[in-house]
Amino acid sequence: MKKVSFLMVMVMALVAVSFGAVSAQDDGSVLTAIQERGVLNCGVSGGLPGFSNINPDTGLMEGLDADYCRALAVAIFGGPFSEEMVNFVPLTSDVRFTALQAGEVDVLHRNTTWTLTRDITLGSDFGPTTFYDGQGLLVRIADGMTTLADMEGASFCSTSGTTTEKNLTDAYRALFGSDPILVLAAGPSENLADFEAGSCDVLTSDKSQLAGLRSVASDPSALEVLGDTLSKEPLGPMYLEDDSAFADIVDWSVYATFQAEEYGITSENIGDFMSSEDVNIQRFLGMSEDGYGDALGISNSFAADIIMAVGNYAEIYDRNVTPIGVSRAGSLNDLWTRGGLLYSPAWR
Amino acid sequence: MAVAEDMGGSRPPPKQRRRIQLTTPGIPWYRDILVIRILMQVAFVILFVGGLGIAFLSLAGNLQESNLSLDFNIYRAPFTVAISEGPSVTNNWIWLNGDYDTAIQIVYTGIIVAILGWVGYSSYQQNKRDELPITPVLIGLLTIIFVFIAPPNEVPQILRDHFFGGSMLRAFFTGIANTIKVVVTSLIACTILGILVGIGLLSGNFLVRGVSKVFVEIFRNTPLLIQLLFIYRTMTVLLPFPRQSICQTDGCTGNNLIAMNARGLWIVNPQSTDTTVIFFVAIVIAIAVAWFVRRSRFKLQEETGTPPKIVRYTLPVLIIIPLIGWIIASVLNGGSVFINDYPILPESGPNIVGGYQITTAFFALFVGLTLYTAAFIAEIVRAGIQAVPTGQIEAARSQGLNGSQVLNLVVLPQALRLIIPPLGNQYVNLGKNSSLAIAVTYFDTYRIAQLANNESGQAVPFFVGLMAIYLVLSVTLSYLTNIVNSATKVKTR
Repeated sequence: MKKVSFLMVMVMALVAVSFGAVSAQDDGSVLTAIQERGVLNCGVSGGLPGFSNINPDTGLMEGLDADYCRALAVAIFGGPFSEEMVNFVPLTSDVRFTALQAGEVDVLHRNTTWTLTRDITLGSDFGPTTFYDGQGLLVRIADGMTTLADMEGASFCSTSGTTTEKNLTDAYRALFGSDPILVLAAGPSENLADFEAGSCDVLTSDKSQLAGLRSVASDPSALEVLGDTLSKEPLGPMYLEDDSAFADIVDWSVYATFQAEEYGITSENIGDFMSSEDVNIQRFLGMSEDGYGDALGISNSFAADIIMAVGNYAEIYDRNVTPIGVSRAGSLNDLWTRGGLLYSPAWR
Repeated sequence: MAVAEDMGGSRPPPKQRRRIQLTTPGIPWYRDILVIRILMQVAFVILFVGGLGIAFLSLAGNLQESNLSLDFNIYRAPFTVAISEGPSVTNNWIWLNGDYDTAIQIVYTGIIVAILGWVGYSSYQQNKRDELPITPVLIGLLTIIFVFIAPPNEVPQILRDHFFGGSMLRAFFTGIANTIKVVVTSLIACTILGILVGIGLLSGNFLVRGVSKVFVEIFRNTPLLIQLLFIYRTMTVLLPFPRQSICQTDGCTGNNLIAMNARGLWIVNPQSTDTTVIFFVAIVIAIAVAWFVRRSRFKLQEETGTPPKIVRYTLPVLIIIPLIGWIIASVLNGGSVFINDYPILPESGPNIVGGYQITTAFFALFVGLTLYTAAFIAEIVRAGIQAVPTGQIEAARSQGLNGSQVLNLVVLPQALRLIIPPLGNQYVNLGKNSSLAIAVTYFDTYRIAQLANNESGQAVPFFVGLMAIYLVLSVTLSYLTNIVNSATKVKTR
């Protein structure tokens, strides 16, 4: 009898534990949770030059994605910005969605491609695209391969858990009717190590990433990013579904950087615009009574706080992406007024 | 017998209880120990199953709330990433094309009948021993429920729905095949290496002992993940690019028996011809004849005490008969028994073509798992040998046996009984450690689960499946060890 009752206790404990877990997630918005916590948990890649990479000199997370994390944090908590507002959570491609679903991070600014399948199946939504990318191919110039059609039988290095291995498989099958040889590693730096050791002939990833990896390779002049673009890779923020209050803030914190560039407001000249006569700029910067922050449930001056913290889109881009060798002029990442795709909805 | 009687002494005599008589005369039923036992068993099963059910439902609810799906139908979704190692994911399995439906139904029905037959037999046996046949009855009930879910006439279609070329399930099977490939090869290699090093640890030769000791301490005391990364990175960095492959012909453009570069090792791959079967039959005959020779030599030893000298008598048999088979086969086929598929580096092209490729990823994982597990096995072997009483060795020596005879005839047979149970633990560890393949770009089960997770975004069903797969692998390994263990243990009655 003693044995049986012990087992019963264990069963009861199991039941109790599983019931206890029901309150895992509050029914409120993620926004409330962030405000109570006092810090934004922002999922980033953490090892990708130009997007999110730790600067060895300062110890700070740097990059386009990292700056959008800062912009969101300062929008939620109000200015001036301090590094304590953001907790950068480095995530590998494999675990990022699970981390978001489980609430480990509030938002992903982690060069994540916006795809229909992800939008539908992951229980999450995408914000405005912050970087328009395309999948490219990095090769050794000496190998003499100039396009994917030259690459029959080649081995391809790619990061596991991304859209790239799938795109490449599709493109390769369409061209040659057989399966490519994939060498999958956990992250971009492992890819580069495999590529440089000769484990593969081609490194395939988003072009911005390839440019960043080429810049840190041992001999960049021997490598070349080919002109082929295998796919569209619009990268942007990602957050949980059915949470408009938070989603709106993420979206408009991104749009604020686009709009600031359109107005010509930078982190340096924002002081001049504070006293602007233009009523639209006054509303944008939160200088008038009818600002936009109230409607979003945050400070009226959130756009001004963002610009003072990280600058407008051009500043963010020039600081982070230009150094890795991806030029902006004439690309999709230019402002719509110059033929690009960056376009903010109306601030009214 | 005396012990068994003592244990049964507190219970009523078996003969009386086997009648279908639930109560003992003179005692009210609610105080009858047998009735209480059955009621408690039933109550416990209900509580346990109910508890598990509630726990599962509540867990599912929690997962749903966190946007994590528990829908196992995701295994039927297409899997679209190329897997360049192991059996093909995309080709349809030939036995799923409809021609084999009847055969599948017959095999399936046969398995079900066999299970139900086993259930009936062991229920009868247990009932004869006065035990309640709870496990067999439960298995029988589950089987019957399973048959209702998947009746024999629908099984071929169910298999087709799940195992079509390019499905997630097929990808998992490729992953499982790759995992089994690396586990089985490492298991054999680490056992041989471990025993050699273990004996080396006790060697009288200072150098052998020292080298064994250093080997064990290095590989036992560093993390396997770091060893794997070290081996993999070292191999890929040291080995040349494919265009500069190492092989025996000039520039690798001729017929190589072996070729090597950063992407792997290629060996010549013999393809069978029409007469190859003669050669294989000769090998089988040779093994059979050698076995008979061995048996008759042992018989002779039992009768007269002559040393069996197995190797001296069986080795010629094992060489001569296959040689005759080879000659016959090659004469019939005009010169060659096999057509060799040589690894060749083409004039232009990224890599070696032809031959059988052992990828660097597989090789690194194989070497890493083998060295790591062998270090532990060596310690187990050493401990097992040292546990054999010195008196045994001294006695063997005083009988005039030489060093290897003492080891083979006296020490190892006794040490084996102490070695095998902890050895089983190491095998299970080896199976589980194979999931570290993720560090060396090998396509094992864990990697496939991650790719599938990335493609569908549904982590939970795949990780549940992953746990089930490793559970089955580990249980199978320990079951096999248990069989070996009971075969070698001292027979007692």
